[in-house]
Amino acid sequence: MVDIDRKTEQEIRELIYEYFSEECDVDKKDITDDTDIIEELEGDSLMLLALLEMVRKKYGLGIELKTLGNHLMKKPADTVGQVVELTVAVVKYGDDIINMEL
Amino acid sequence: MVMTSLTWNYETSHKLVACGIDTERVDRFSQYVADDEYPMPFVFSREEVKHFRRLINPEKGFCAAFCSKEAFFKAVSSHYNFPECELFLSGDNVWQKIKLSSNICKEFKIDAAIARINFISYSSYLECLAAVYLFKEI
Repeated sequence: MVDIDRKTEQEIRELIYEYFSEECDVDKKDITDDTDIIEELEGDSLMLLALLEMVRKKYGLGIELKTLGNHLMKKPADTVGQVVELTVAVVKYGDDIINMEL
Repeated sequence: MVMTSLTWNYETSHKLVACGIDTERVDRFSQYVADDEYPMPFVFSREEVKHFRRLINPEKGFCAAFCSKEAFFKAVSSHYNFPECELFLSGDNVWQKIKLSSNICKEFKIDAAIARINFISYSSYLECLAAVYLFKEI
């Protein structure tokens, strides 16, 4: 497990808001934690995978997609806030995410 | 299903058990064409990436493989395990076998998967449509 401070959590949140704002051509001010990625931002799975790739590179993660897929079946990430939570958990726990009660 | 030699061969020896489709714009994969690194290791295998980068239009290879993988996992209604399901694009508008790991075959109780890959040209972009069919031996 990697210790994550408030600053890193905030950095991840910023990164995700910035990413969806750019990719979906939506003003960052119009995005909240409750914004639905598919319904409101017209996002898709490739967008989520590209985001994961970006996070993987930035934080040097080796998580497997299968692990993430298993986790998402238990705890789906439909909104921007849920993606922030998921990303923080991925950075924090890596492949151990599947054993965590989040 | 449109009958071709490949599908006909499967239909005489295998039972169709599921199918799935997916579509994506090809230009979304342009960022993965540069050969300075190995992109999306949780999606593409190293062999796939090598193969795509040898194609005249590598982004078509990335896109076709991605769509086929998505279509495959939609067909089995399960979690993603993309690298164990490989597609080495051989041309435009083709039927192709999907290379499956023994784990995937065992997990989903299938023996083969084939994909129909079509590229559709719109005025400002190119789109890939993949239809994937999963079979069990009779």
